[in-house]
Amino acid sequence: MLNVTDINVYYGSIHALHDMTFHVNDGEIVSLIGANGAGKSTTLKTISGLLRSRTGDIEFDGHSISRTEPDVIVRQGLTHVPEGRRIFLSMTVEENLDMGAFTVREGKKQALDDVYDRFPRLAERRSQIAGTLSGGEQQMLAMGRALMIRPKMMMLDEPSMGLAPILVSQIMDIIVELNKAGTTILLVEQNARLALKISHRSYVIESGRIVLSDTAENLLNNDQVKKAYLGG
Amino acid sequence: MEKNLRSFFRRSTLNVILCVAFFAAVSYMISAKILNRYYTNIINLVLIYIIAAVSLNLTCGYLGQLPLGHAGFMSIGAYTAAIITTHFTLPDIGPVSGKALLFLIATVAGGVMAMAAGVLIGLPALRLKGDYLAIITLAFGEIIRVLVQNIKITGGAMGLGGIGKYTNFGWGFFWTVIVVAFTYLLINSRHGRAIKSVREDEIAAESVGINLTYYKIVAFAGAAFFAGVSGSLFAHHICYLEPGNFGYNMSIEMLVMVVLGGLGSISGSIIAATVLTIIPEVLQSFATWKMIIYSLLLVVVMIFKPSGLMGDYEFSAARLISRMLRRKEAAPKLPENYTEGGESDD
Repeated sequence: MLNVTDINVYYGSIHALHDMTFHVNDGEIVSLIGANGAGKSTTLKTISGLLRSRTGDIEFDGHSISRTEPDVIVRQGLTHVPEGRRIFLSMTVEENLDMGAFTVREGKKQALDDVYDRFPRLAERRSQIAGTLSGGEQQMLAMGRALMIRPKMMMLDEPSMGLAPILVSQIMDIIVELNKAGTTILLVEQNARLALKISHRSYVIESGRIVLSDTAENLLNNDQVKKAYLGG
Repeated sequence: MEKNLRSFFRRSTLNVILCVAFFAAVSYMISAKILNRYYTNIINLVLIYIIAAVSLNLTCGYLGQLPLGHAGFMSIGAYTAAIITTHFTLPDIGPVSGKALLFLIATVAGGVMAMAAGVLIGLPALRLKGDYLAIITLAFGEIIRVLVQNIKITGGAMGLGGIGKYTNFGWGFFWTVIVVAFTYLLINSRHGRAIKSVREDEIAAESVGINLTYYKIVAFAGAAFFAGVSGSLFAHHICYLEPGNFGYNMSIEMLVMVVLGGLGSISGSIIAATVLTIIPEVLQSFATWKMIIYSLLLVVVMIFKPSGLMGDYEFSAARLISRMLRRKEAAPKLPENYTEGGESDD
């Protein structure tokens, strides 16, 4: 589904990603784990076209997207739930979802019903201003908004950030459900244990390089990973 | 859906009727000399500033950028139109006066030139945000002023005279209606929602598939077009152009109108443009205190109502009338839990 080959990304003169190569197969949950500033969010932003790679190629669903505009990438069915939720705070819940379907003209109503089915909390609060939602609800809204285009693949940037543990496990359950329903997932998480628990495979990123890649199960038992990311 | 459509037509019919009535009333007062020349001039000036302020609100209020070069676009429109009307004549075609037709063409041409400049400056400038965009557009305004001062066709520093006084209440009103209708329809369309979402959060807008550059340019160019139109009306109102007319002071004045009226409120821009154009005239007799009172007013409003006079609220005649009717019905006996009809938008 997604093939990232040898990308190098720079912020001005700072070399943020080094020769990064990884892939996500159809139907998988793949996670990128690593410390703060390792380059996880940068990777997602590059894939969704918000940043450009100087080298290499990104292929999604058989097409190269490394030079494609972000709005066209969304139309191709790859959606990005950015870090910090980034919902439209002064719009209502329903207006937010409506914006999510900005690139589609047909089947909006059905998509909206599906999102409300998956997130009944959003249905209850459909005419509430999004800025007044709780953190967990805002995360649900951000995910719901991304689902409005019925994406083939969804990239989630730190969905657990700033949420209470009970909400975090709820969000993780939803991610697994979405995946079971056929959406491929690329997940970025600082909370490595959480990510590894629900992923099929995972890549460990350190200072803009992939240093380890394996099945999530193996990584959970890897001594190096345990020491660095899972607290012994 | 059908109900929405019906109520839209009902509302727009009401708005059309109100517009026509207002136009007829003022036209009558002008022709019957109830409003003398001095008042008529002020009214025309008010309309010119309304056009400029409402268009600036598109970039400032709805798109959420901070451009400081609005006077530059007005200047381009003013000079383009003035050069056209002073260099060409059109014969009368049937009942249509050649002068009026020429003025219409010149004004549209002024708008188009300003819009072209808007696209040109917008493409690089709109990649920047906040302070940077402000500085670039400020510089753009100054470049236009210096250019105008140094080329021949604009009359250089001497200015451009002999411009016909074509701007009258009819033209001012016509363009005001156009700019208000355009802005209102754009903002409430799918494109308008995209423009507003750019203001809310650029990254979020991009992540739902909104082409940032495209929508920024659309809003910026639309605003530039109407700035050019207002420039043309201004030129044919004062009949004499000099480069100093459109300095950055004027850009700031426009910005003050938009912020004072409320970012993202068309009615706010209209009210602020009206008040701020009339106040200096009213205070004419307190010449020394004029600017102090004017400035104090701004300070006071910004302290007590930082979101501007109207916030992002819109005046709606339909809502006002239906609320009055409802009040009349409810008047004999107020229900115990009676509350002021909410601020919900219809």
